[in-house]
Amino acid sequence: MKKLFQFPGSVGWRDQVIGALLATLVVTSLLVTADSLGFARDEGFYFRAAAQYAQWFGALFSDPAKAFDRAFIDRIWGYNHEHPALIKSLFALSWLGLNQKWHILRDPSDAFRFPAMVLSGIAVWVTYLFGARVYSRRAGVVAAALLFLTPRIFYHAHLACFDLPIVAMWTLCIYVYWRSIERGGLGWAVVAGVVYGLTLETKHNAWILPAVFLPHMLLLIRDRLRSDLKRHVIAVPASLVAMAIIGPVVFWALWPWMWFDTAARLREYFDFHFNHVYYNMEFLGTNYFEAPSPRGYMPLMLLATVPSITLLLFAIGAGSQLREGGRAGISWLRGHRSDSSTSTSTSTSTNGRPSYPNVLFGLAVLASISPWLFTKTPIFGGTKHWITAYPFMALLAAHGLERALAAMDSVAAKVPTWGKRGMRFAVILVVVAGPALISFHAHPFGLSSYVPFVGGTRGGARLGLNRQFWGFTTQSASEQYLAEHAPKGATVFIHDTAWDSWGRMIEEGRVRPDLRGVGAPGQAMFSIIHHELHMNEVEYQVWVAYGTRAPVYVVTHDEVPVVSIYRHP
Amino acid sequence: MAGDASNESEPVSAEKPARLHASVPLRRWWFVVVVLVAVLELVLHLVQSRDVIEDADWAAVKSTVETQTQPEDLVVVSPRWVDPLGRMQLGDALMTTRRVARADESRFPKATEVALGGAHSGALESWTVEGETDIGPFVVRRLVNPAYRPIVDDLVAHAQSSKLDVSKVGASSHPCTWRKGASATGALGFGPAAPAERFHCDRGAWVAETIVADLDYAPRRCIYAPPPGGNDVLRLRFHEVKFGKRLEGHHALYVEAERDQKGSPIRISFSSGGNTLGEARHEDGQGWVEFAFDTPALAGTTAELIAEISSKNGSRRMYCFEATTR
Repeated sequence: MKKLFQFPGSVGWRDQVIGALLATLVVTSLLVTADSLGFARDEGFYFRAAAQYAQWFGALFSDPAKAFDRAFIDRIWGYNHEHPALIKSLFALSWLGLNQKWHILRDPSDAFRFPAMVLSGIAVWVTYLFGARVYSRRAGVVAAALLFLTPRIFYHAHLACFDLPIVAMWTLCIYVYWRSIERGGLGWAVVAGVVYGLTLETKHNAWILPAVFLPHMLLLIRDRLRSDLKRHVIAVPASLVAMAIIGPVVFWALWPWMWFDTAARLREYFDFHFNHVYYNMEFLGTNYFEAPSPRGYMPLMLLATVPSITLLLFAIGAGSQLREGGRAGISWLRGHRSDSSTSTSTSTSTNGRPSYPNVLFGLAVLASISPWLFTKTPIFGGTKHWITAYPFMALLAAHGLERALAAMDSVAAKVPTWGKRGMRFAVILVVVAGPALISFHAHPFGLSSYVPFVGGTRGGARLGLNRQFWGFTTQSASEQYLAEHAPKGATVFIHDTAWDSWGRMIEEGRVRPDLRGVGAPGQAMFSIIHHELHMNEVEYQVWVAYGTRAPVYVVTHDEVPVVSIYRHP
Repeated sequence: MAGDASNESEPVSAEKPARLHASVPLRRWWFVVVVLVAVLELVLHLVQSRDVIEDADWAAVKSTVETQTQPEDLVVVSPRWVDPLGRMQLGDALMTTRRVARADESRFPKATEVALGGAHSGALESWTVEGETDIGPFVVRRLVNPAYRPIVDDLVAHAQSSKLDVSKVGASSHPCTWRKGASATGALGFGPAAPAERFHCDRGAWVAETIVADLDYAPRRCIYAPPPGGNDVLRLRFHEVKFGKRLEGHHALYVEAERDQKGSPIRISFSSGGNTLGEARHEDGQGWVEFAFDTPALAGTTAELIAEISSKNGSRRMYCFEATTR
């Protein structure tokens, strides 16, 4: 029995148990806190899509011929076909199973959101495994914690959207690729191909992944590249070949919309994302609605929304790796090739070759954030655009903490072992405590939250940074004011909330069921104003139509207005 | 587990202490920075996430502002993000349209600024502080305008049926009729609200006092007067305007109508008694800009004033202007 709980040196099934426990903790915390978070605009569209796709899954079992009929497929899968089908299909199946059939989750919204929550758990699980394998189990746990305890991650992890799913799949895909390099063999290569296909089928960020894998591959094969080129045959890892072949097949196979007119629909899909509409986004008091986007957006938003301790540790971890990588690179250039393989920035695979996981982490961060170095890239989605960087920032941050703890140990040489353990535990606790408190305190206003070093939520407002988008705070407005003060059957202008989101909030009793949503302030007894800079114009309409500038109630987070509620006199 | 795992972290740390043994002993203590930042972030969060404003503070602020402020004064809440709370707590009587959607600050002799946490409105930076009262986290500041220019008459206040005629003049002329109905509003992108009482022109066009979001999304009280386009002119005839030495105004388009900078320029000309007083041109992207004409010959008189608004193309020319005599 004692043996069961002894951790061997190598990472194994016990680590999968730890990862699973961490994932369970994540899913549980998300389920417990999901009720207070209103439905975001995009969730409304995905609820509708999932309910519609569920009809197709019904037909797949009851009438397979119909399920493969083009007209039926186009009718069902034509809705929201700008995004691949996998995650919405999971929403649909979760709703059918966990809510409609087995009644495990009472509210349909919990069932719709559940797959993304599970994938959030998987993101944390894989991050742990990556950290445990590359650095240490302690680093794995710290990386997992720092990832989940990023306020924006905690917010997005609740939603029936694609953001945490792509974080999970992106991380898993890189992990599987790395394992395939480490372990070799056809099995891992095939798994890598399938996982890459699933990642492509999750969100379009996956198309950037070659920018992670190809430079890494060049690093792997650099020593034999010259001779390969002479022979006109470049030996690339089998996993990359599998990704190139199996990936697109999986992408196509799991998306019924792509089964017909594939070339035209693929073109439409790429066109949509390459020429995406620029929505409004406030940055430093200016509303951006078209190119050029501000170059400072990504760096400043990273600084303002990722806990500063995480960023500091990331800088330490990444800096130490860069230093060692630089030394190894110089050695290699000078012809001392053996030096590069003994650097700590490498990890030696079972086949004896270095697999450079730290380089992979760095590339994963760079590939995620690089599009926002260009001014043509829209910024309307805020930090979720580069959300795939966060697991790898957390991993490098965990490495940074390992360095700090090692430094602490070195000056505490005379401290007894139990004392050192206590000191390490205290440092880890204090490192994680801040991000944890900030993340939980931000809920359900995760998008309004900014880190203490920029002044917190008030600091964000003072700097003119966006306070929210997607109109999900309507539920907070209802809970705090409308539920108690609105007369029976009152009409409410729901502003930025999507109709499907409002409808579900009504259906699940999150908003008082007798309230009636309307599309214009002038038609409503109450108007909700979601505070975003470009939404000011709607508030001014209310002033004119209602003849008042004074809201009857203001929903705040840390005293910063998030939603104003007006009553028609 | 941390204890068990500590052995595994040894390989990572094993060579580090040797490397970290720098000639300067302090360098060995660099990890303290990590602890300090972590603790500081935690403490800052605990401090920042505490509510600092109490209802009693707002009540005291309101009472002070009511006592100190004259009808012609400006009332401002700083910083800008506190404004919704300020409007809710201070109420419509203090937060009037003329104050919250002002064209500029030059028309106010004094201001009362309700400032949270030492904030100060940029627009009042050059004003002289006359006195300050501390109330909880607020400072209620009295300020004097060093560049006060009193208003003789305000054209926006004339935008009602008894004081103004509106017509479209061109190949065929149509008077715009004053009617009372329902206000017209919409979602994002709708444009400024049409108030319940307004001049109705043809093809759904209307003229009335409203509040427009300018290029910076600031509220501006103004007369909505979209030009018809082509050779047609929108004519506003103000019956009796008290003149001063100057006619000063501002104009802009609703933000979404001018931010793309694709529309035709808009021309506004002012005349009285058959004499042109001046004309101004607004181009997309200028936002809320000022225009001014000297009217010394009319100073002290009351006379009719005609404003004519035109543009080559009337598509999405959601134009709004305000003017005062000084």
